[in-house]
Amino acid sequence: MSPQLFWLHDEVLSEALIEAQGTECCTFLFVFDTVWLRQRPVSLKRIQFIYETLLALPVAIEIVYGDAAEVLKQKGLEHPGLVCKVIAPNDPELFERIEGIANEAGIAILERPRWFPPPAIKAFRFFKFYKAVRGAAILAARDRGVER
Amino acid sequence: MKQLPSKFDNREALTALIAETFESELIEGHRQPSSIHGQVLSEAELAECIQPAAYARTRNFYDGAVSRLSPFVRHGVVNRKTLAGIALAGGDKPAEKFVQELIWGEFWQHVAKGRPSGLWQDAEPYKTGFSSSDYASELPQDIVTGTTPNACLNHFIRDLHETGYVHNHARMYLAAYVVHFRRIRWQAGAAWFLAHLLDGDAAANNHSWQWVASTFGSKPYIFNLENVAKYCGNQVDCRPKTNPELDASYESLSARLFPARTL
Repeated sequence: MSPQLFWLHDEVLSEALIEAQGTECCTFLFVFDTVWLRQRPVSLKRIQFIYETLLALPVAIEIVYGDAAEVLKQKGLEHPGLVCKVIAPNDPELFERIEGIANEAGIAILERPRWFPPPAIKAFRFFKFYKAVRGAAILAARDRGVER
Repeated sequence: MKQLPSKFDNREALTALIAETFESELIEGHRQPSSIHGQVLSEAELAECIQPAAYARTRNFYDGAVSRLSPFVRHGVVNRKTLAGIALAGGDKPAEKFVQELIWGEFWQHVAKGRPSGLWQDAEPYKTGFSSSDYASELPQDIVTGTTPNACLNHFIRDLHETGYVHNHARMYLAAYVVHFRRIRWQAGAAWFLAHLLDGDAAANNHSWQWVASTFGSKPYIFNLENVAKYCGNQVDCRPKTNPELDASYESLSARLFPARTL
Protein backbone atom coordinates (compact mmCIF):
# COMPACT_ATOMS: atom_id res chain seq x y z
CA MET A 1 0.00 0.00 0.00
CA SER A 2 1.28 3.50 -0.83
CA PRO A 3 2.26 5.62 2.15
CA GLN A 4 -0.35 8.20 3.01
CA LEU A 5 0.00 11.67 4.42
CA PHE A 6 -2.86 13.59 6.01
CA TRP A 7 -2.37 17.32 5.86
CA LEU A 8 -4.10 18.85 8.85
CA HIS A 9 -5.21 22.45 8.94
CA ASP A 10 -6.59 24.52 11.80
CA GLU A 11 -10.27 23.62 11.22
CA VAL A 12 -9.77 19.87 11.48
CA LEU A 13 -7.20 19.06 14.13
CA SER A 14 -8.95 15.84 15.21
CA GLU A 15 -11.22 15.17 12.26
CA ALA A 16 -8.36 14.04 10.00
CA LEU A 17 -7.45 11.42 12.60
CA ILE A 18 -10.97 10.01 12.48
CA GLU A 19 -10.87 10.02 8.69
CA ALA A 20 -7.56 8.15 8.77
CA GLN A 21 -8.69 5.46 11.20
CA GLY A 22 -7.77 2.01 9.88
CA THR A 23 -5.40 3.41 7.25
CA GLU A 24 -1.97 1.78 7.29
CA CYS A 25 1.29 3.67 6.67
CA CYS A 26 -0.35 6.96 7.54
CA THR A 27 1.46 10.04 8.80
CA PHE A 28 0.17 13.49 9.75
CA LEU A 29 1.49 16.91 8.92
CA PHE A 30 0.46 20.35 10.16
CA VAL A 31 1.91 23.44 8.52
CA PHE A 32 1.73 26.84 10.15
CA ASP A 33 1.32 28.41 6.73
CA THR A 34 3.10 31.75 6.64
CA VAL A 35 1.22 32.85 3.52
CA TRP A 36 -2.16 32.22 5.17
CA LEU A 37 -1.04 33.80 8.45
CA ARG A 38 -0.10 36.97 6.59
CA GLN A 39 -3.53 37.03 5.00
CA ARG A 40 -5.25 36.41 8.35
CA PRO A 41 -2.97 37.71 11.09
CA VAL A 42 -3.56 36.24 14.55
CA SER A 43 -2.38 36.73 18.10
CA LEU A 44 0.09 34.49 19.89
CA LYS A 45 -2.82 33.07 21.89
CA ARG A 46 -4.35 31.51 18.81
CA ILE A 47 -1.08 29.96 17.59
CA GLN A 48 -0.41 28.60 21.07
CA PHE A 49 -3.89 27.09 21.35
CA ILE A 50 -3.43 25.24 18.03
CA TYR A 51 0.11 24.15 18.90
CA GLU A 52 -0.92 22.80 22.31
CA THR A 53 -3.78 20.89 20.73
CA LEU A 54 -1.42 19.34 18.17
CA LEU A 55 0.86 18.19 20.99
CA ALA A 56 -2.11 16.65 22.83
CA LEU A 57 -3.40 14.60 19.90
CA PRO A 58 -3.01 10.82 20.33
CA VAL A 59 -0.75 10.43 17.26
CA ALA A 60 2.54 12.04 16.31
CA ILE A 61 2.13 15.11 14.11
CA GLU A 62 4.96 16.60 12.11
CA ILE A 63 4.75 20.35 12.71
CA VAL A 64 6.30 22.72 10.19
CA TYR A 65 6.51 26.51 9.88
CA GLY A 66 6.69 27.83 6.31
CA ASP A 67 4.89 28.34 3.03
CA ALA A 68 2.49 25.37 2.87
CA ALA A 69 2.79 25.16 -0.92
CA GLU A 70 6.55 24.72 -0.67
CA VAL A 71 6.29 22.25 2.20
CA LEU A 72 3.79 20.03 0.40
CA LYS A 73 5.69 20.11 -2.90
CA GLN A 74 8.86 19.14 -1.04
CA LYS A 75 7.05 16.20 0.60
CA GLY A 76 6.03 14.92 -2.84
CA LEU A 77 9.61 15.15 -4.11
CA GLU A 78 11.06 13.40 -1.06
CA HIS A 79 8.53 10.55 -1.15
CA PRO A 80 7.54 9.57 -4.69
CA GLY A 81 4.23 7.69 -4.64
CA LEU A 82 3.09 9.44 -1.47
CA VAL A 83 -0.70 9.81 -1.37
CA CYS A 84 -1.56 13.10 0.27
CA LYS A 85 -5.03 14.04 1.51
CA VAL A 86 -6.59 17.08 3.13
CA ILE A 87 -10.10 17.69 4.42
CA ALA A 88 -11.88 20.64 2.82
CA PRO A 89 -12.12 23.62 5.20
CA ASN A 90 -15.35 25.55 5.64
CA ASP A 91 -13.73 28.98 5.38
CA PRO A 92 -14.06 29.97 1.70
CA GLU A 93 -10.76 31.89 1.70
CA LEU A 94 -8.84 29.07 3.36
CA PHE A 95 -10.46 26.68 0.90
CA GLU A 96 -9.15 28.78 -1.95
CA ARG A 97 -5.65 28.66 -0.51
CA ILE A 98 -5.77 24.90 0.09
CA GLU A 99 -7.34 24.16 -3.28
CA GLY A 100 -4.56 26.09 -5.03
CA ILE A 101 -1.88 24.07 -3.23
CA ALA A 102 -3.75 20.80 -3.74
CA ASN A 103 -3.98 21.36 -7.50
CA GLU A 104 -0.30 22.19 -7.70
CA ALA A 105 0.96 19.38 -5.48
CA GLY A 106 -1.52 16.65 -6.49
CA ILE A 107 -3.31 16.46 -3.14
CA ALA A 108 -6.77 14.92 -2.81
CA ILE A 109 -9.34 17.17 -1.12
CA LEU A 110 -11.81 15.13 0.93
CA GLU A 111 -15.27 16.44 1.64
CA ARG A 112 -15.75 17.40 5.27
CA PRO A 113 -18.15 15.08 7.10
CA ARG A 114 -21.45 16.84 7.65
CA TRP A 115 -23.72 16.83 10.70
CA PHE A 116 -26.82 16.94 8.49
CA PRO A 117 -27.53 17.54 4.80
CA PRO A 118 -27.92 21.17 3.77
CA PRO A 119 -31.50 22.37 3.30
CA ALA A 120 -32.99 21.92 -0.14
CA ILE A 121 -34.27 25.48 -0.06
CA LYS A 122 -32.25 28.70 -0.17
CA ALA A 123 -32.15 29.77 3.47
CA PHE A 124 -30.15 32.89 4.36
CA ARG A 125 -32.31 33.68 7.41
CA PHE A 126 -31.67 31.55 10.48
CA PHE A 127 -35.15 30.45 11.46
CA LYS A 128 -35.96 29.34 7.91
CA PHE A 129 -32.74 27.31 7.93
CA TYR A 130 -33.43 25.96 11.42
CA LYS A 131 -36.93 24.85 10.54
CA ALA A 132 -35.62 23.04 7.48
CA VAL A 133 -32.78 21.14 9.22
CA ARG A 134 -33.84 20.69 12.85
CA GLY A 135 -35.34 17.21 12.48
CA ALA A 136 -32.39 15.80 10.54
CA ALA A 137 -29.92 17.44 12.93
CA ILE A 138 -31.49 15.90 16.02
CA LEU A 139 -31.81 12.49 14.42
CA ALA A 140 -28.18 12.49 13.30
CA ALA A 141 -26.94 13.69 16.71
CA ARG A 142 -28.81 10.92 18.50
CA ASP A 143 -27.32 8.32 16.13
CA ARG A 144 -23.82 9.72 16.23
CA GLY A 145 -22.14 6.54 17.62
CA VAL A 146 -18.60 7.01 18.84
CA GLU A 147 -16.96 9.93 17.13
CA ARG A 148 -15.44 13.27 17.97
CA MET B 1 10.66 26.25 6.05
CA LYS B 2 11.39 25.10 9.57
CA GLN B 3 10.63 21.88 11.42
CA LEU B 4 9.10 22.71 14.82
CA PRO B 5 9.63 20.66 17.99
CA SER B 6 6.96 18.50 19.57
CA LYS B 7 8.39 18.40 23.09
CA PHE B 8 8.75 21.32 25.49
CA ASP B 9 9.91 21.49 29.09
CA ASN B 10 7.01 23.74 30.01
CA ARG B 11 4.37 26.06 28.60
CA GLU B 12 6.63 29.10 28.79
CA ALA B 13 9.13 27.40 26.46
CA LEU B 14 6.41 26.91 23.86
CA THR B 15 5.33 30.54 24.20
CA ALA B 16 8.92 31.70 23.73
CA LEU B 17 9.34 29.56 20.61
CA ILE B 18 6.14 30.92 19.08
CA ALA B 19 7.08 34.54 19.85
CA GLU B 20 10.45 34.06 18.16
CA THR B 21 9.40 31.92 15.18
CA PHE B 22 6.22 33.79 14.28
CA GLU B 23 7.60 37.29 14.86
CA SER B 24 6.71 38.48 11.32
CA GLU B 25 3.23 36.95 11.26
CA LEU B 26 1.84 37.78 14.71
CA ILE B 27 -0.18 40.91 15.29
CA GLU B 28 1.60 43.64 17.22
CA GLY B 29 1.83 43.34 21.00
CA HIS B 30 -0.11 40.60 22.78
CA ARG B 31 2.69 38.09 23.36
CA GLN B 32 1.01 36.27 26.25
CA PRO B 33 -0.77 32.91 25.91
CA SER B 34 -4.37 32.46 26.97
CA SER B 35 -5.35 30.82 30.23
CA ILE B 36 -7.35 28.47 27.99
CA HIS B 37 -5.08 25.61 26.98
CA GLY B 38 -5.26 23.76 23.68
CA GLN B 39 -6.09 20.15 24.54
CA VAL B 40 -8.08 17.10 23.61
CA LEU B 41 -11.13 16.56 25.83
CA SER B 42 -12.66 13.19 26.64
CA GLU B 43 -16.38 12.63 26.22
CA ALA B 44 -16.78 12.78 30.01
CA GLU B 45 -14.97 16.13 30.12
CA LEU B 46 -17.15 17.46 27.32
CA ALA B 47 -20.28 16.31 29.13
CA GLU B 48 -19.15 18.18 32.25
CA CYS B 49 -19.07 21.41 30.24
CA ILE B 50 -22.60 21.02 28.90
CA GLN B 51 -25.58 21.87 31.11
CA PRO B 52 -28.44 22.25 28.64
CA ALA B 53 -31.18 23.26 31.08
CA ALA B 54 -29.04 25.85 32.86
CA TYR B 55 -27.78 27.03 29.49
CA ALA B 56 -31.34 27.68 28.31
CA ARG B 57 -32.06 29.78 31.42
CA THR B 58 -28.82 31.69 31.86
CA ARG B 59 -26.89 31.81 28.57
CA ASN B 60 -27.31 35.57 28.13
CA PHE B 61 -25.72 36.34 31.49
CA TYR B 62 -21.99 37.04 31.66
CA ASP B 63 -21.62 34.28 34.26
CA GLY B 64 -24.26 32.03 32.67
CA ALA B 65 -23.86 28.28 32.12
CA VAL B 66 -22.28 28.43 28.67
CA SER B 67 -20.04 25.52 27.67
CA ARG B 68 -16.98 27.57 26.57
CA LEU B 69 -16.22 24.76 24.13
CA SER B 70 -16.30 27.02 21.06
CA PRO B 71 -12.48 27.11 20.60
CA PHE B 72 -12.49 23.32 20.43
CA VAL B 73 -15.32 23.26 17.90
CA ARG B 74 -13.63 25.95 15.82
CA HIS B 75 -10.48 23.87 15.49
CA GLY B 76 -12.18 20.56 14.81
CA VAL B 77 -11.14 19.01 18.12
CA VAL B 78 -14.78 18.11 18.64
CA ASN B 79 -17.68 18.54 16.26
CA ARG B 80 -21.10 20.10 16.85
CA LYS B 81 -22.91 16.84 16.19
CA THR B 82 -21.11 15.18 19.10
CA LEU B 83 -21.96 18.07 21.43
CA ALA B 84 -25.60 17.96 20.33
CA GLY B 85 -25.65 14.22 20.98
CA ILE B 86 -24.30 14.73 24.51
CA ALA B 87 -26.89 17.44 25.19
CA LEU B 88 -29.76 15.39 23.79
CA ALA B 89 -28.86 12.44 26.02
CA GLY B 90 -30.58 14.39 28.82
CA GLY B 91 -33.80 14.80 26.85
CA ASP B 92 -34.93 16.82 23.84
CA LYS B 93 -36.73 19.61 25.66
CA PRO B 94 -33.89 20.85 27.91
CA ALA B 95 -31.43 20.50 25.01
CA GLU B 96 -33.47 22.59 22.56
CA LYS B 97 -31.71 25.96 23.06
CA PHE B 98 -28.24 24.45 23.24
CA VAL B 99 -28.78 22.47 20.03
CA GLN B 100 -30.26 25.54 18.36
CA GLU B 101 -27.13 27.47 19.21
CA LEU B 102 -24.99 24.71 17.65
CA ILE B 103 -27.12 24.89 14.52
CA TRP B 104 -26.41 28.65 14.37
CA GLY B 105 -22.77 27.68 13.75
CA GLU B 106 -23.79 25.42 10.87
CA PHE B 107 -26.03 28.19 9.54
CA TRP B 108 -23.15 30.66 9.31
CA GLN B 109 -21.08 28.10 7.38
CA HIS B 110 -24.05 27.58 5.06
CA VAL B 111 -24.34 31.34 4.44
CA ALA B 112 -20.59 31.72 3.85
CA LYS B 113 -20.60 28.89 1.35
CA GLY B 114 -23.59 30.30 -0.50
CA ARG B 115 -22.30 33.87 -0.44
CA PRO B 116 -18.51 33.88 0.07
CA SER B 117 -18.23 37.58 -0.80
CA GLY B 118 -20.25 38.30 2.38
CA LEU B 119 -17.21 37.49 4.50
CA TRP B 120 -15.77 40.96 3.97
CA GLN B 121 -18.29 42.88 1.88
CA ASP B 122 -21.54 44.41 3.09
CA ALA B 123 -24.28 41.90 2.29
CA GLU B 124 -26.84 44.73 2.20
CA PRO B 125 -26.78 48.52 2.76
CA TYR B 126 -26.69 49.83 6.34
CA LYS B 127 -30.13 50.58 7.78
CA THR B 128 -28.78 53.31 10.01
CA GLY B 129 -29.35 56.33 7.81
CA PHE B 130 -25.64 56.32 6.92
CA SER B 131 -23.85 54.82 3.96
CA SER B 132 -20.72 52.67 4.29
CA SER B 133 -18.51 55.61 3.28
CA ASP B 134 -19.65 57.41 6.45
CA TYR B 135 -17.85 54.81 8.59
CA ALA B 136 -14.14 54.97 9.43
CA SER B 137 -12.01 52.06 8.31
CA GLU B 138 -9.60 51.82 11.28
CA LEU B 139 -10.17 51.10 14.95
CA PRO B 140 -9.25 54.06 17.15
CA GLN B 141 -6.45 53.65 19.66
CA ASP B 142 -8.66 53.70 22.76
CA ILE B 143 -10.56 50.66 21.53
CA VAL B 144 -7.39 48.77 20.58
CA THR B 145 -5.90 49.48 24.00
CA GLY B 146 -9.08 48.96 26.00
CA THR B 147 -9.14 52.53 27.29
CA THR B 148 -12.51 53.73 26.03
CA PRO B 149 -14.52 56.07 28.31
CA ASN B 150 -16.63 53.05 29.38
CA ALA B 151 -15.40 50.68 32.09
CA CYS B 152 -17.63 47.76 31.12
CA LEU B 153 -16.41 47.78 27.53
CA ASN B 154 -12.78 47.99 28.67
CA HIS B 155 -13.46 44.91 30.79
CA PHE B 156 -14.71 42.99 27.72
CA ILE B 157 -11.73 44.18 25.66
CA ARG B 158 -9.41 42.84 28.39
CA ASP B 159 -11.22 39.49 28.13
CA LEU B 160 -10.59 39.50 24.40
CA HIS B 161 -6.94 40.43 24.61
CA GLU B 162 -5.97 38.36 27.64
CA THR B 163 -7.98 35.15 27.20
CA GLY B 164 -9.19 35.12 23.59
CA TYR B 165 -12.66 34.37 24.90
CA VAL B 166 -15.53 36.85 25.19
CA HIS B 167 -19.08 36.03 26.25
CA ASN B 168 -21.46 36.21 23.29
CA HIS B 169 -23.52 39.04 24.77
CA ALA B 170 -20.36 41.06 25.41
CA ARG B 171 -19.30 40.47 21.79
CA MET B 172 -22.56 42.07 20.68
CA TYR B 173 -22.01 45.05 23.01
CA LEU B 174 -18.49 45.58 21.67
CA ALA B 175 -19.60 45.23 18.05
CA ALA B 176 -22.48 47.69 18.52
CA TYR B 177 -20.18 50.14 20.27
CA VAL B 178 -17.56 49.99 17.51
CA VAL B 179 -20.00 50.27 14.61
CA HIS B 180 -22.77 52.50 15.97
CA PHE B 181 -21.35 54.53 18.86
CA ARG B 182 -18.01 55.16 17.13
CA ARG B 183 -19.16 54.77 13.50
CA ILE B 184 -16.39 52.41 12.37
CA ARG B 185 -16.85 49.89 9.56
CA TRP B 186 -17.75 46.44 10.85
CA GLN B 187 -14.87 44.95 8.85
CA ALA B 188 -12.30 46.60 11.15
CA GLY B 189 -13.96 45.15 14.22
CA ALA B 190 -14.42 41.72 12.64
CA ALA B 191 -10.71 41.51 11.79
CA TRP B 192 -9.82 42.58 15.35
CA PHE B 193 -12.00 39.82 16.84
CA LEU B 194 -10.71 37.21 14.37
CA ALA B 195 -7.14 37.90 15.34
CA HIS B 196 -7.81 37.39 19.05
CA LEU B 197 -10.75 35.05 19.58
CA LEU B 198 -9.68 31.44 20.07
CA ASP B 199 -12.95 30.45 18.42
CA GLY B 200 -12.56 33.09 15.71
CA ASP B 201 -14.25 31.73 12.63
CA ALA B 202 -14.80 34.09 9.72
CA ALA B 203 -18.29 32.87 8.82
CA ALA B 204 -19.83 33.23 12.29
CA ASN B 205 -17.75 36.21 13.35
CA ASN B 206 -18.11 38.36 10.26
CA HIS B 207 -21.77 37.65 9.67
CA SER B 208 -22.53 38.41 13.32
CA TRP B 209 -20.75 41.75 12.94
CA GLN B 210 -22.82 42.36 9.82
CA TRP B 211 -25.99 41.51 11.75
CA VAL B 212 -25.12 44.04 14.47
CA ALA B 213 -24.20 46.61 11.82
CA SER B 214 -27.51 46.02 9.97
CA THR B 215 -25.84 45.01 6.72
CA PHE B 216 -27.13 41.45 7.27
CA GLY B 217 -30.36 42.20 9.09
CA SER B 218 -33.30 44.54 9.11
CA LYS B 219 -32.14 47.04 11.76
CA PRO B 220 -29.05 48.01 13.75
CA TYR B 221 -28.46 46.31 17.12
CA ILE B 222 -27.80 48.71 19.97
CA PHE B 223 -27.66 48.39 23.76
CA ASN B 224 -27.57 50.65 26.78
CA LEU B 225 -26.00 50.54 30.21
CA GLU B 226 -29.17 49.24 31.83
CA ASN B 227 -28.98 46.17 29.60
CA VAL B 228 -25.30 45.57 30.38
CA ALA B 229 -26.03 45.95 34.09
CA LYS B 230 -28.86 43.42 33.90
CA TYR B 231 -26.71 40.72 32.30
CA CYS B 232 -23.21 41.54 33.55
CA GLY B 233 -23.71 43.80 36.56
CA ASN B 234 -22.53 41.39 39.23
CA GLN B 235 -19.17 40.85 37.47
CA VAL B 236 -18.44 44.05 35.60
CA ASP B 237 -18.32 47.75 36.54
CA CYS B 238 -21.65 49.11 35.27
CA ARG B 239 -21.83 52.37 37.23
CA PRO B 240 -23.19 55.33 35.23
CA LYS B 241 -20.26 57.56 36.15
CA THR B 242 -17.73 55.07 34.73
CA ASN B 243 -19.77 54.34 31.60
CA PRO B 244 -20.87 57.80 30.48
CA GLU B 245 -21.49 57.05 26.78
CA LEU B 246 -23.87 54.18 27.50
CA ASP B 247 -26.08 55.60 30.23
CA ALA B 248 -29.18 56.55 28.24
CA SER B 249 -32.56 55.25 27.18
CA TYR B 250 -32.98 53.39 23.90
CA GLU B 251 -35.03 56.26 22.53
CA SER B 252 -32.39 58.88 23.18
CA LEU B 253 -29.59 56.58 21.99
CA SER B 254 -31.45 55.89 18.74
CA ALA B 255 -31.95 59.60 18.19
CA ARG B 256 -28.29 60.30 18.99
CA LEU B 257 -26.75 57.45 16.98
CA PHE B 258 -29.06 57.40 13.97
CA PRO B 259 -30.35 60.96 13.48
CA ALA B 260 -31.07 60.39 9.80
CA ARG B 261 -32.66 56.97 10.10
CA THR B 262 -36.22 56.71 8.83
CA LEU B 263 -38.32 54.06 10.53
